Amino acid sequence: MNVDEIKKLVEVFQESGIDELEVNWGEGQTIRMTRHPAPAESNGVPAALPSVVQPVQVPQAAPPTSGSVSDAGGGKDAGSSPDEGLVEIRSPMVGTFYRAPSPESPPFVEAGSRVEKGQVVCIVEAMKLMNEIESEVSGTVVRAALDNGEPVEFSQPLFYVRPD
Amino acid sequence: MKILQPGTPLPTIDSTQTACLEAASAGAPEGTVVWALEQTAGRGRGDHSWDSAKGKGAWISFVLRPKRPAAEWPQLTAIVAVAAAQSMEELGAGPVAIKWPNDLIGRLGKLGGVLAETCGPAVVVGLGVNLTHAWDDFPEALRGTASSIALEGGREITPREWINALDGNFAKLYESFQEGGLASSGRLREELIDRFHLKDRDVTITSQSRSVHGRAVDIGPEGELVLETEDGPQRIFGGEVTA
Repeated sequence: MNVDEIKKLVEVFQESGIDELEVNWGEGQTIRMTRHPAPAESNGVPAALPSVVQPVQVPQAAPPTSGSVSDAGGGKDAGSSPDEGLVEIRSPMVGTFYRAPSPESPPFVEAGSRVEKGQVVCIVEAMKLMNEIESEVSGTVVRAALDNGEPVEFSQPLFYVRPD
Repeated sequence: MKILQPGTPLPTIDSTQTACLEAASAGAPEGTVVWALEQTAGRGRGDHSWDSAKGKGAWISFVLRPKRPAAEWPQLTAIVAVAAAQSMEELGAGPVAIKWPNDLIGRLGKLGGVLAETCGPAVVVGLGVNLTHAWDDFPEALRGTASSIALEGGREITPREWINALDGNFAKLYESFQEGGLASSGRLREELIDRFHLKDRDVTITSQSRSVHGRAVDIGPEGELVLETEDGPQRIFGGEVTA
């Protein structure tokens, strides 16, 4: 995960009504954000500022300052981001991410799949509401952001698509 | 106030849900109800096909066009479950609990279930309820686990009467949802806690490839299940529940 992606995540978190967001990705790396007043004496940030970013379980990264944004993955800088130009398909709700309509069915899409605007790419289920998520663009699926069956937060990316 | 508009029932249909989704995508207005006297391919989650013996149960699907943001739509299954439980109790079926998030449980067994699917800006809700089944009316596999409003001591009613009874309670809850007050006022949570079938039970939540174990301790403001797990409390929004 690069700096831009983390910044985006912080934006999403700040705009959402959720109190806690944990994102896991490859190599056991995790970012957890919790919403509570930042301790003013530790970072000079006004106590009312809602968001604190705390990467956890990141072996190689130095602990970031509370209230700041850090590239926890030690990844590439924004200029060389491999995700530049990709469109994120985001979840409209909290729920569970399903790549296929049932355990026996093939996934709606795979990395490399061609998708048309409006095509169903996955289901987010919440309290037995099955929400078919459609691609907002025509293009090629680069990858899924989550594993099948994983919990998903509001506005969390589900897929990355390279638009035509 | 009235939301549900039942027209003429179809004599038989593969699945009211499929037909209602088609109607919704063709622009059917809010409150459109698709229902049948007999359903031959009722859909539950996974393998939980719903039995709907002719005229004894009511399987209905209806179109909602919520004004609230999509993030709040999952509350709708809980709202329909609460309205159904209230209606069953008014019909004399005794206390009806809700097995989170969508099963209606009487003292003698399961009375029905809710599911919902989005269809663009619409939500199609399916609700199956056993109205007048006697024990013999259930297939062998369901005996002992299924019940009906009549078996629970409630009035014997027709599917159309059921839709009207349901609407009396549903319209009030839905109006409050549309105004944005049902979750924020804590009322949805209160209604679900009053009927908390899983309270203090050890449950497993599975979602195809993953599972979470814990004790069901609470319901959150949006109707979510709160589990006490080894890693602390977790708010559960999706997945299959096994108690």
